[in-house]
Amino acid sequence: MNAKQNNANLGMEKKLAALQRRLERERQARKQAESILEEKALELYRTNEELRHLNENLERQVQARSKALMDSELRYKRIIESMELGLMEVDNDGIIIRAYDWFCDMTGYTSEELVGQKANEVFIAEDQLSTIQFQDENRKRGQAGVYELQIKKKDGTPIWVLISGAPLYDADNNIIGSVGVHYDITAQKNLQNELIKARQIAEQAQQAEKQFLANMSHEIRTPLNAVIGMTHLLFDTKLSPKQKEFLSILKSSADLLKGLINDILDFSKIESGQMEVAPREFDLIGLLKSLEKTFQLKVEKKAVEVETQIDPRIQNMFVGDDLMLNQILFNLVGNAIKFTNDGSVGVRVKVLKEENDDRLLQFEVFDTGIGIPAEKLKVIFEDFKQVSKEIKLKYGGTGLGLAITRRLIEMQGGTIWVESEINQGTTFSFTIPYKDAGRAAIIKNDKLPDQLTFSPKACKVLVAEDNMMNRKYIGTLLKKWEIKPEMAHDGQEAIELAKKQPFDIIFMDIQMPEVDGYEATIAIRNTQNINQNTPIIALTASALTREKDKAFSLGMNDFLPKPFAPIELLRCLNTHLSQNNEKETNCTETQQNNMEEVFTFNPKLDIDYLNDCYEGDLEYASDMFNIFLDFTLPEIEELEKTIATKDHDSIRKAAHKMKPAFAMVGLTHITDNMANIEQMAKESADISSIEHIFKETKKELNIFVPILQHELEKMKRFIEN
Amino acid sequence: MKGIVFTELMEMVEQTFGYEVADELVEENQLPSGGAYTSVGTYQFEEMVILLQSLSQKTETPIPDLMHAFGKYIFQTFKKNYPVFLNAADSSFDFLESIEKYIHVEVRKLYPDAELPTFKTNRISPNQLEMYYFSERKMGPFAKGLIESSLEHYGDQGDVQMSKIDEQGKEVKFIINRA
Repeated sequence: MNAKQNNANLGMEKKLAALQRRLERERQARKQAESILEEKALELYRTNEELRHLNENLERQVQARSKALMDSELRYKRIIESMELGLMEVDNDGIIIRAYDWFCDMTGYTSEELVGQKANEVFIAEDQLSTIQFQDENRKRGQAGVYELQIKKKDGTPIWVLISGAPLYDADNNIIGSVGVHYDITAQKNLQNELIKARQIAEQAQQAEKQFLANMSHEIRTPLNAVIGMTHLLFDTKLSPKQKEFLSILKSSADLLKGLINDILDFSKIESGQMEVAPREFDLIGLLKSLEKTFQLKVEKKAVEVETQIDPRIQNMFVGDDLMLNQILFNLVGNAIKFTNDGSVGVRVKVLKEENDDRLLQFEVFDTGIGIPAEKLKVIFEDFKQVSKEIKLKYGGTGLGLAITRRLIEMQGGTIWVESEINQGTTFSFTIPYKDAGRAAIIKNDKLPDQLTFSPKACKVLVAEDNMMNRKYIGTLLKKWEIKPEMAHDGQEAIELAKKQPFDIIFMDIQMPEVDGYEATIAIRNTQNINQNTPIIALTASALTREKDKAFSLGMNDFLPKPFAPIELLRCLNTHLSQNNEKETNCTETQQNNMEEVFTFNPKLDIDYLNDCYEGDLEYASDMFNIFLDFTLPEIEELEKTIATKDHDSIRKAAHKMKPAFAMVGLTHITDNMANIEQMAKESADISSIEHIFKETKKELNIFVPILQHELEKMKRFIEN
Repeated sequence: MKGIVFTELMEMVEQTFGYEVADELVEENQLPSGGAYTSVGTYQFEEMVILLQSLSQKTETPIPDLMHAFGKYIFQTFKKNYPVFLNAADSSFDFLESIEKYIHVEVRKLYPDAELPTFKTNRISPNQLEMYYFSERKMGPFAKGLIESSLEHYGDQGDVQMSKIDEQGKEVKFIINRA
């Protein structure tokens, strides 16, 4: 029992001990857990603290960033708002999503009125739709754009806006619409339109002014031409030395005035774009030679040589505006001569560039004159600029010459420059591009062909005469002979006409304004043209040998002094046109009746009688002379034989028959003798006295027959001519 | 090794064999921790090996069988303590597939010092899953118990075949079939 109980107790004790141990382990586990818990709690606390710090930090950063963002947004918002830029956002369908204050102010709408509306329907007038549609399409493709557009305000007033449009994107980079920045440019636009109008008005005014200038110059030129023309006419009259002096001053003043007017006219033509480059084929070498000879005439009074140096490569005809080139060279060479008192002036031409048929030519106009001061070299090509007031006073001019020259050169694609040294000389150089015409310029210096056909109707005559009266006079005469002449009013026109059509003969007045007869002859003789060998007859009031010699030396063929009689003109035509055409000669002769002076008979003959008798009909007269010499003269022998018969009646009859024949050849005194014989025979007078008169008559006849024969020949020549 | 494995093992021993056996396991072995376990603590894995060996001798049950039973037992604890993981999956296979990618990830957040096995899954067919176990702990049977309990939890009938890939059992392959 005790043992059992002991065992039982022992078992209980063991169990108890196990439980106690378990309890103890549980306690320890709890302590472990608690300490872990405490540790974890502490850790948690620390972690929390860190987290809080971190959070606070983060928050501060976020706050700072947000503030910065807000500041920035606010700043930009303020900038945009203060910049008077109206912002509006639309979606892809053009519906307004947002309208900013300025945009509302600008258009007169409230934001509420706009949002939800179709922007184009609200603002855009129909005529502007295409602009905005084009921009809308660009926006959808993601392209920004700046453009001007007229839109209408709420009250209907149109305003102009400058729009900078850009696409709007969402977070995923899809285009969701566009934003437009509008800037009101109505004021600028109005100003711009006003400016355009003002400019148009100004341009019109300027154009009108130029036109006015051109018209005025032209209007002034016309009466001035009359003044110059009349001056030339006056020179043709008998003048006292004093009158001649006054007239010379009048002429040079008128010429100067005309030069100025021409400069202004040219200048205004260039300025108003009326002057155009007219290229044609021309003979450059001929042009330069003419120029040289023309200026040689002008420097006759100065100790100045005129030279021309031509690049040997220049052989062919060129294509370009030869009139402009002539004007340029005239200006430059004219200037050179004006400012050069001794030494030489001249033109050098060289080929600067050759490419295919393109030729760039460089012209140099040089002189050994007074030179141009270095500081003035830049301004001389400017309009209305002259080297100095002294120059203006001394040499005159508008100051437009070089400005015109420069413009003419530049119009043709060239450039001009100048080099000069005081008292050494000046060289103006310029370039002009031309084309080579590809054929040689043939200069014909042959003599005139021996025969030319002269048929009045087909006969082509050029008359260069500045005087209207003279033109009319010569024109009337020629028309009478069924010749329709071409009239040139000055030398330049004559040159131009001579280039255009062939003439059989050219009558050239020597004293003409602009280009005179000598210069025109030089031009026609020395440049290649269809009239290079056409006879040129000088018309001049001055019959000085010096002038005659000059005319012949320049290639003129004859000389017709003014005032001339119609017959002289006709003789001249006959001399220089064909001599073979009988018909034409007849034609000419039939016209002679109308002439004041027909033929000058030997004054030993009774000229009055002859003129009364034939009235200039030489054909008739020569027939009469012929008949007289062939038939009347042999009858003198018959009369002598009759007198020898001493038959008074036969003598009377014979004398009567022969009597008129003598008067018909201008021997009226022999007719008188015959009348005496007739009378004496009638009265049966002493035969010896009749014989005496007959002897005297025969003596007379011996003297007069050669004269009559000569006169007949003269008449025949005259008629033939 | 996490304390919960020790506390749950001792719990199972007490429930199955009585607290005396549990006391003996502690008393008879020299355990560094002295046998006082709390689920929040961490203990050396060697103590688990000693406990299992000692239990195997006392109960004359092979260690793999003990581990298998322990796996099935501990599943209930997990189910009770961490229902969230089970609720997150709709089916047993989904749950098993989520262990590596989801549950272990979350466990590591709670217990950064936890030493967990690695699983790889491969769905052969809708009702067959291949699952690989890799661990230095060589506790394949423990895993098998857990897998079987999972199937049961989701109401699946099926079987789990286990085969060692290496001799020691560090790498194990499971073929899981469900009906």
